[in-house]
Order: sequence, then structure tokens, then C-alpha cells
Amino acid sequence: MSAVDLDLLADYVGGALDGTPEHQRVARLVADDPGWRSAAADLTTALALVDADLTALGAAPEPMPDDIAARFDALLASPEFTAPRPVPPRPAVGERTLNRDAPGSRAARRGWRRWATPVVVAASVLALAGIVLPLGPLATSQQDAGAGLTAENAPAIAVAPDGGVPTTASGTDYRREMLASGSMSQKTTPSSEAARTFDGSEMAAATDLNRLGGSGEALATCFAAISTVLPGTVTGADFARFEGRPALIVKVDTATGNWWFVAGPQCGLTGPDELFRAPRN
Amino acid sequence: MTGQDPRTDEELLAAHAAGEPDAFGVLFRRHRDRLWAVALRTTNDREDAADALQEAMLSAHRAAGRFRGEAAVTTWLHRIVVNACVDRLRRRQAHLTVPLPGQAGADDDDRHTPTRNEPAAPSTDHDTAMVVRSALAELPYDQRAALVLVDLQGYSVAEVAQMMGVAEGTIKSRCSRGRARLAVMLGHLRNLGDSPDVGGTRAQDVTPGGGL
Repeated sequence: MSAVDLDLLADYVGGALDGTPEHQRVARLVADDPGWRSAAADLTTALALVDADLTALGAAPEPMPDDIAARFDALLASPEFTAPRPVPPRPAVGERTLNRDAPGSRAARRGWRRWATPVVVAASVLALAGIVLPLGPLATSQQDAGAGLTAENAPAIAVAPDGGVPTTASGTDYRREMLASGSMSQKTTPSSEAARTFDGSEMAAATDLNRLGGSGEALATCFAAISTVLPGTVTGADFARFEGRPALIVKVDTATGNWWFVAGPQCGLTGPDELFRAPRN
Repeated sequence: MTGQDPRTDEELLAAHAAGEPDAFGVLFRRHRDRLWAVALRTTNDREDAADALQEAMLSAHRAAGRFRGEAAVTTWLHRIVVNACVDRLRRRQAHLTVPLPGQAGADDDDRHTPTRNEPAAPSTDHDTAMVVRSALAELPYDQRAALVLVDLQGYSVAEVAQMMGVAEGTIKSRCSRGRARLAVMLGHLRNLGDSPDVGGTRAQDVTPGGGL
């Protein structure tokens, strides 16, 4: 008599094994093994009771509490909901892997020059969406691509004169505690504490974000995805790293405070790919 | 204004996509409680449910123009809500590191998240419903989400598979295993001697019967 595996037996009884070789194996066990036969009978009986229980739960009302309803009323009255805001098509929401790193990816070998150019294209697309990238620093960085960039002399973030979203690619490896402590400078360049030499690894970090940097649609969709979980205004973004992983470090100002929002390279695909967030002083 | 609008869901969504400012709010309020129930029963946390639902509604608000009517509007909304919930739970799970002794594996469950599982507001006086809801909350979230959609909301296995982007066999398995675990937790079935702990370590999905 072999030991009964409840999950396997549940799969069999529930029809999840239909059409598989496993079905035949479990069917034989149920037919030939008294333990499995008894367990299958017990489970079948029990499932009828579970079905009744779930029916009772399904019939129970679950109204939204008044305080939550008030929050949604306020949200629906906010500018976020005053009009539809079309965004570029993206894949339907579904299951996705959390493997955000793609070590050794082809993109990681492309280098700064290949990465920087599409940002200019991206900016024009973003501009159509009402978001303005500061082309000056990025254009300069492209010219300087061959130079040995460091975080200190990496293209400085420039605030667009019309209030658009300033971006840069510092290659900085941000740390959780730096952001969470609020010790990060509010300056437009990363603080010296966070700064690392812009060597090959930082270059790779930046290029792992190639999808975001290379497509205005992708970056706009990423910002839109971030705003779904942290409604507010994106006031800056740094193509960098977070604890060694390629990441987009985004500054978001909300009605209740300012935030660091760290997004992974998959930002905008099925969500914001949030890695971390912390209040920003 | 809520519930009084004679237009269908599809008409409201189309009106919203065409720029009518209040149409989305009417649609949301029409289905608010049902969407809330899905979010609350899937996340098992009042604040998580509210946040996930907010995230989902913002997504739906923005994606309305891409709705093509392949499914009912309610199905579309439920899909967005449940995926927002699962994304949230998965994100939190990914931030967990080492489970405490005696707890399920980190890839198994979200229910041990420290400090976050405050009790949700009681939904009913019905004792059975309360007990079942508590038991449901103990399931691994993938099984819970599948059961919420199939057994509580009445969607078919095929519909849920499409909503969650997995094979039908995976949803069948999640539902079957979830129901079996509920049977043990609710006292309808003795815990088999060598069976996995209820809510335990063997919740990894199988995809019997092939993929979609």
C-alpha cells in the first residue's frame, strides 16, 4: 500500500490529470490500492461539502466598506479619472516572471552609444504624450560616449524649462538604505554617497534598460504604470541600478508627499515592475 | 447616478472611451461591491484589496479604448482586478526572504507576511461564510484566486485560464488542490498521513493536460 498524495489525488478527482499518463497511474492506484481507494472516496464526499461551503460564501454579501468607498469616490473625482488617457498598446496583464535580470543579454553588450540615440527618438514620442525629456544632456552624452564617464561627470539631470521630466543615466548603484533614509540628495545629480564609477557594469546596467531608453512608448507606458500604483507626477528619472540590478530610479511627487520609486527593466510590460519605493524628503 | 443609468456596461465603457467624463464612474459603481469582494477575497487584506482595486481601476480607465468586446465588460474588469491582486501578492512574496520555522515556503504563500494581514472587515453574520472565508484565506494565493473566480464568481475554468494567462489544466489543478485543502481545513476530510501540510509546501503548480 503506497502513501496517498492529497494534491495528486485532488488533481485526479478534479479532472486535472485527464488525458495525461499520470491519470492512468493514479487510476490504477485508486483501483488497486485500498488506501488510495478509500482516500478517493473520502475526498469525493468531502468535496461535495466544500462545494456547499463555497456556495454559502459566494452568496454572502461583501459590500465595500464606506471608508473605502469614499476613497474611490474621491479618486473618481480626481483628474486621473476626468478623461480617458490613451496609452500605447501593451501586452495584456497576465502571469509573468519575476526574473528581472537578463545577465549577458545582447542588450547589455550594445554599449552607451547605441543606447543613447534612441532616447532622442523616445523624447519626441514622449513629447506627444505631454512629457518632455531634456534633450540637451542626453545629446551631449551621446557625443561623449567614448569618454570615460563617471557618475560625477555623467550627464547631469537638467530640469526642462517647461517642467517636463528630466532624465539621466548615471549608472549609480542605489541602495535601499540610501533611499529609505532620505539621505539621498534632492540635487539633480546622484549624491556622492551613491555615486559609483561608470565602468563597464554600469554601462551594462544602462543598456539592460535599453527597452525603456530606446522607446518613447515604453518609457511613457512605464511612467503610466507607475502612476497606477503611485498616482502623482513623475519629476525625474535616472537610468541606473538598484542594489546591483538595472533599474529606473524615478522621483514621483504626490499630493501627500514625494517618493522614490524604483522600477525594474520590465516596467510597463505588465505593471510598474516595482522593486522598491521610499518616501523622499 | 449610480445604478440609474440605463446604458449597458459596453455602452458605458464606449462612452468613457469617447470622452464622457462620468461614464467610467457609473460603470465602476455599478460593479463596485462585486469587484471589491474579488479583491478582498483574493488578497485577504483590506488595504491590499483597496490598493489593488485602485491600481486595477486606473489600468481599466486607461485601457478602455482598447477593449474590443471579446468578453463581457465584467469579465474584463475581473481579469484586471484579479491580476492586480496577484501581482501585488507576488511582489510582496518576492520581497520575502526566509520563511520562519514551521511556515510554508516563500514560494508557496503570502499569508505569513508580517504585520500586513490585518483582519478584513467582517462580511456577513453567516457563520459558515465566515469560517469558509477564513479557510480560503489560508490557501496559497494562486489557488485562492482560482477558487474565487471559479467557485465564487462562477467563471469557467477556460475563462479563468485566459484571465490569468495560464493553461486550463493549471487552473483545474489549482482549484482541485485548493478544494482538497479546504476540505481538510473545514473538517470534511481527515488529513492524510503523508499528505502535505494544509497550506503547506507542495503548492507548486502543475500543468496537466498540456498548455493552452
